[in-house]
Amino acid sequence: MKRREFFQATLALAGVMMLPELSWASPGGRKLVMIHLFGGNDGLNTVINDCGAYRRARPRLALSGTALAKGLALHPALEPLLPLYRAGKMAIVNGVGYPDPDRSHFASADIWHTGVRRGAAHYGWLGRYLDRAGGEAVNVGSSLTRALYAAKSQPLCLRNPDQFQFAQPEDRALLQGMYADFGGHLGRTFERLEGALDHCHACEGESVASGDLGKSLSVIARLLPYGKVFCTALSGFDTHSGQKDRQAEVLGQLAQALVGFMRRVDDKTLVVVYSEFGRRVEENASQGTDHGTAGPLFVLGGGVKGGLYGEYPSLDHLVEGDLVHTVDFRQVYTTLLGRWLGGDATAVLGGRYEAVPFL
Amino acid sequence: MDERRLHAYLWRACGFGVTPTELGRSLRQGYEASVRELVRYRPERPEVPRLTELPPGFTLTLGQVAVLITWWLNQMITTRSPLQEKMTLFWHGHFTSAVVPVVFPAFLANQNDLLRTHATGRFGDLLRAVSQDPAMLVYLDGHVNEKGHPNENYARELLELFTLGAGHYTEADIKAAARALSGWGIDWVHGVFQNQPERHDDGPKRFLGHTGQLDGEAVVRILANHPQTARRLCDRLFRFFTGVETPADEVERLAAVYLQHHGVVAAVLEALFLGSAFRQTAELRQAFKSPVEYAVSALRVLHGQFRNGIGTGPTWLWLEKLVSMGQLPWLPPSVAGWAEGAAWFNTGTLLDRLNYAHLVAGHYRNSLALLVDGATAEQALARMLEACGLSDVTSKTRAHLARICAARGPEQTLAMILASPDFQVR
Repeated sequence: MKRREFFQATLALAGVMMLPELSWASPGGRKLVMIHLFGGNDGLNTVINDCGAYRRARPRLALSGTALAKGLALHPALEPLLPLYRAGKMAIVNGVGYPDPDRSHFASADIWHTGVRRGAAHYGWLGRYLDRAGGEAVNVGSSLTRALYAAKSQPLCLRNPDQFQFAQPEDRALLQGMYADFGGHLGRTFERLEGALDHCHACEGESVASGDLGKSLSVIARLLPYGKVFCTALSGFDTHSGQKDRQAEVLGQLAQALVGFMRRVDDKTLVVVYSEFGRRVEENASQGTDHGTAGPLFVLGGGVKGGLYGEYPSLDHLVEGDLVHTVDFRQVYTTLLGRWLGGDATAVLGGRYEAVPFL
Repeated sequence: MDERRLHAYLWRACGFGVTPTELGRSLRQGYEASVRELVRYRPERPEVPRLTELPPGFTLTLGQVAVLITWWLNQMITTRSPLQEKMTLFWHGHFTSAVVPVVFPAFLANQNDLLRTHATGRFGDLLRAVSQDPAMLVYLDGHVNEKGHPNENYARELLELFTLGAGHYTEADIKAAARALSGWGIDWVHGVFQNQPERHDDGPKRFLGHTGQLDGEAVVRILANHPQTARRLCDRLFRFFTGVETPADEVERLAAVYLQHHGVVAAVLEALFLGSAFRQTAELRQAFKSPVEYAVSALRVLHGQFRNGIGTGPTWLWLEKLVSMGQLPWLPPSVAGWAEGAAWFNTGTLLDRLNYAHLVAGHYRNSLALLVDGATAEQALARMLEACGLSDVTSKTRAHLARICAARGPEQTLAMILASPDFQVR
């Protein structure tokens, strides 16, 4: 039985009414690509509010970026994104976070990925969406993001489709025979792997950019027709020391990869860039910053209403030295689920959040 | 039931593979004698690395942890008491601690020693030792839990993950346990446990129906003797060793053994392996090897070791393979440890396992040449399967392999054996 039939059969058995969202594809074949900046990207130096309080808190790390609007500027390494921003194809949502913030990378990433308080849910927000709506998910990276943990949906995981050591036809045929005979979970997993590899090899294309993220987005670009939701991550944002060079390096890589990727995809692909938290307002003694709270989030694509969203968090009213979020990340999810994927955001998130109108 | 298959299954469950010698002895002495040999092992106490020498180019912490992980993987390869090492790995998943936020590699090394020492002894002793272990005290904030400022992190996981399981306690029990455990801290000068009475809340408490001035010792004792702890632990052990759900009557049978033997894990394991429920799972081929088990069992075949500078790259290359296959010690996805069983396999982790098989077969060319010296293709395949502990491979798989062995030679055949679905399970 094909997955689609399986879902329909399950629904029929459960006597569930076919709601509009329970169609196989998202409206008009839309794609969502989530990029996690792992480690906690310093939001204050990503979208810069160059005021007195900023200069005082960051005597050595303060930057003057490239002006955007409303007194805000973009990190110089992100300058390649300006044409997209100016063309109205990039939204910046400021101050995204959640109440009672957790400053552990893993705990905060879990909160972002499950969409609820720590430990309150096993499955991810996208996994829950896919369980309801159907559709393929693809994870490109060394580990499966919790956002795709699901009861039914089985995401495809792939990192290096071109580094398969048994790629020769006779080797593959032998493995295929052994795994098909063995059957069960291993047999099914191998079959899916083969399907994905075939798909990848059929759509070989030029790399969108160099670097880790460039490689991951190149794989995603090849697999776009295969899935609906795509997740990947870029590490290197945990800048407790030597932040200036390190953040410039990873943000530069991000900008190059995004520019290359957006050139390759059409208006039906939406890209979201987020991090599990921002960093402390005051710089530390090692020319770095420690774990903080809210930060900016980017949304890119032809379908986006570009511009600035969300109030920039105040640098004068801090809680324990940290910013207070102005937008709950679940508001962003509500927009993505409701206005892009055509899903029931309230049901997936277990609550009602006001959408951010970037779509 | 194929006797050979059953014996191989037992040895693989209790360790990291089975050699031809071991399998021959096992078949001669009989199943029950082998269970006793494996469970009543002679305990090893290898000296954990002192973590002073670092591979070049590493930061202090990362390099030390790489040394520690490499050392442990090699201990799994060379141990003469495989079940002790297998149980150390089980406890590492049960009582998880992570590099972050523990940060002190020496703490992690000492915890590893602790888990090995208590691998099959009384669960109550292990639970007490873990509750007072500096790595755990840091990992779950036990060391900052003090009178007037309770930190419930450890108490919650103690009840939810380590003993009873969700649904068998109340929030009030967690609060009481946290108060009882307050004052268990760390002597930071020597890096060891320290009881700090001045930080202990000695007021009256009510915990799981027990009342009094309960302290940490009392809470640990109550939990270790609790029938629900017995059931949950026995259920976990059965699933760990078989990869399938535990039949309800098997849970009750093993839990009764646990309670009757005052929580001695070796008694539970002996009953488990001798029981018909375990034996019936041998033909299912559902006991998926964890990535660590897979990596170790593949290296054992050709007497390899994880070493600094081995193969085409440094230690980190090998450890990176474990990361991409989904399990690097001390890097669990969450406090609940690793999701086991079928969850080890997705398309990405399977691809990385297949590539790992290729890497290992290519790396030990010389040992392989010795193994198959002078053999016909058919003999060579038989020798390789035997070395892999896979004489009991399915006839279908054997037929596939015979074709490749005749056409492509031993190296590619070994890569295929290690990549085969049969080698992914016990």
